[in-house]
Amino acid sequence: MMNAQNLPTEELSKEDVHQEEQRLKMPAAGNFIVLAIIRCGGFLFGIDVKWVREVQPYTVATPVFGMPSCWLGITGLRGHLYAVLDLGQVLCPDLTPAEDHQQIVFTNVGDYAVGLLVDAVPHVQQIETASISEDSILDLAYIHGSTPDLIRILDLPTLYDDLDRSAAGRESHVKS
Amino acid sequence: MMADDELSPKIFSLFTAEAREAVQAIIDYCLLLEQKPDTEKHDDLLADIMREAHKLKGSARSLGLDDIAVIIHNLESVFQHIKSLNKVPDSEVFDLIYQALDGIKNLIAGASPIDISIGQLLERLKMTAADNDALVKAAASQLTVDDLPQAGFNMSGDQETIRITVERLDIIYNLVNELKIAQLNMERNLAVMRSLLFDTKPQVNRMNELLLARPQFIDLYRNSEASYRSMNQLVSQLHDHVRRSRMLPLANVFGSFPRMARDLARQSGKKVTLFIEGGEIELDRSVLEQIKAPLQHLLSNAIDHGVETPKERRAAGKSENGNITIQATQEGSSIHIEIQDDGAGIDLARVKAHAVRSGLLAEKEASQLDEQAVIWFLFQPGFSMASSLTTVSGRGIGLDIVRQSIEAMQGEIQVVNNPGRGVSFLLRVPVSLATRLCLLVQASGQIFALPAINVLYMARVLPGSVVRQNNQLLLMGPEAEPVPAIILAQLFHPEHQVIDRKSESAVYLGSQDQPVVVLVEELCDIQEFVIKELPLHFAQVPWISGAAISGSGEVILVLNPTDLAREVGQLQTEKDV
Repeated sequence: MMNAQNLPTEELSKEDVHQEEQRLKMPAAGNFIVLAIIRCGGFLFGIDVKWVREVQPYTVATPVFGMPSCWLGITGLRGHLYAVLDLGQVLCPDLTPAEDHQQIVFTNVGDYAVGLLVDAVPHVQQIETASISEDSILDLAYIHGSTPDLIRILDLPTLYDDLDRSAAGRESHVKS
Repeated sequence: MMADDELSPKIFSLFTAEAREAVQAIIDYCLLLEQKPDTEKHDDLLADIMREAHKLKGSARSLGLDDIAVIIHNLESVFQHIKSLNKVPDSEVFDLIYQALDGIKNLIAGASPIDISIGQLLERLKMTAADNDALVKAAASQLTVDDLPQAGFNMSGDQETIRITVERLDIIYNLVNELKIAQLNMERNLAVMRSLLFDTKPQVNRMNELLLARPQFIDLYRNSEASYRSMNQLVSQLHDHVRRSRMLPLANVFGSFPRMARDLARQSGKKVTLFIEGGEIELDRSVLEQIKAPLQHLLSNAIDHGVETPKERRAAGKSENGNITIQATQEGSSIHIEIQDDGAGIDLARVKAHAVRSGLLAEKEASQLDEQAVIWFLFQPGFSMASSLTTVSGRGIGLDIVRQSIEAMQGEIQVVNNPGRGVSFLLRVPVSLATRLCLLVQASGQIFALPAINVLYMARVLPGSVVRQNNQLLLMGPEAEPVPAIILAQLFHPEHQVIDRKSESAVYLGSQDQPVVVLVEELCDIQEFVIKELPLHFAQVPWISGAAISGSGEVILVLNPTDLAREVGQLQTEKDV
């Protein structure tokens, strides 16, 4: 049993702490992680398939006034409602979005039900977690790390939490 | 407490439901016995009590729930003793009986940690049965909530249960069978059509084949149409029966009120008679669950802060006994519940003064507010008049929670204040939350749904009847007074300029006394929808309470009528001030 006397006494550097945090946040399924690969703004991103419910061609969502433009509205999937998020606008706002053949990746993360509008979902891929490293090229928020073939792994829980917090802040502002 | 671990949770679940009913029945009989000690039915009531208690004891014993069985056994001794005395005991003895029954409820609910004071409780029950008056009264008065038996096991289970009559279940089963037959018919028709259309010869012969097959197609069409009509009818009936199987009478909620009123009145040294009407009206289980806390709150408020003490009532020329009436009526798909007391009413001056002291209202504005605007402060979160709790007119504690609960069901709450004569709280809630009849309206090209329960009426807007006065939009309709209005499209897109001319229809919301108008481009349809909560990221969007998925799969936003009415009201108040 661990007690106070045999705890490591070395101080961890900020970098160590960061790496440990990244490791803990990494969704691990044994030594492998299965990702739904999505293309968005010219980049490839990976979403842990455990969050993905279904992928469907994009149909126009019902707009909800007063929301930031990245929120396209609400759509229904088999009796459930999903908020539709233009992922490109959040991750790569400077890039021109693709117009045709867009798809929605329906995701459920905790209580969040979000449909991600992406350019394409080419395939599903199994990745060895050990091969995932910090992304040295793209400095984007909400990315756990990247694979050797430059698939950036999205941290959906953090992304959705942040968007929820900003929505709540905006609404309280509106109401005040 | 020992309970057989091997026993199925289903058996416990059944026992729990039965035990709750039995305990409630005993409480109800005891209340009657206590309220009408001289009744000729004294013996009958005791017989009913003994029968319920004996049944419950037997069930508890059969499941090895010894603590419950022992408490009931001792309660039986108390009731035997009461019977042998041939007189109704004092309220202190009834307090002890109710506390013992509460203890059983706690054991059933299994909500508290294992810390049982059953020994003390039994001792007091035994003393009561032995008719040692002095000891009984001393013991009963010392008994506190902490002394009550608490959970020794958890029988609450994870599964909620609902009772359904075998007759209704049979009807549903038969309907499902018929539906299955209609579905098979449709499948057969489709198979024949598919065969005729696609399993034919080469392309060149297709038209000829189809022409020859025309009579068959006509037959198939007729068959399919008949099957569709049949399915349609069956689905409607099935839906109705399933919906009704979720319905429970309001008495399920009202049942605990007499005891609650009795206890609260005793605690506050007041005399209160509670009248309940409409307990037989049925509501959906989910509405019933959600309405319970607000009603308890309003009843508690009526006793604590509405009805005066006997001395105050005498001074006001009233009888010592205060009356509270809870009356439920059904009107179409909505239920109206009125909680009325004959107390002193709301002291508007005190509410205004408190609002000014709390910084919610400027002093010069206070004198210009009408009665409803003043009362509305009581429903504001954090507007607490706790410091004046003991005064006659000090209301406001927790009324914001009542309002929130009612509005969460798309219901409405109104207050009618009669200074010196009492207050009425009028609640309007839907019978069911499962599906809701909605009026579909169009604004800025988008379709929205408005729950029909909140719509007073609709009208066409005549040219020139919408005017702007002091930055407030008014509809000059057939009413005596112009009605404050809001343009729905402008609310959502405030950047748009005045577009009155596009608003061709008016939807009246709010109350008959103080209606407000929402102007829309078009009234489209009336449809029944299953209303769902908005996805979490949109949960805070103003004026929208949910969304529905139409038959074509389109998502329709459901407007929050209370928010809209309040929005118009606020504009009106700002203008007045």
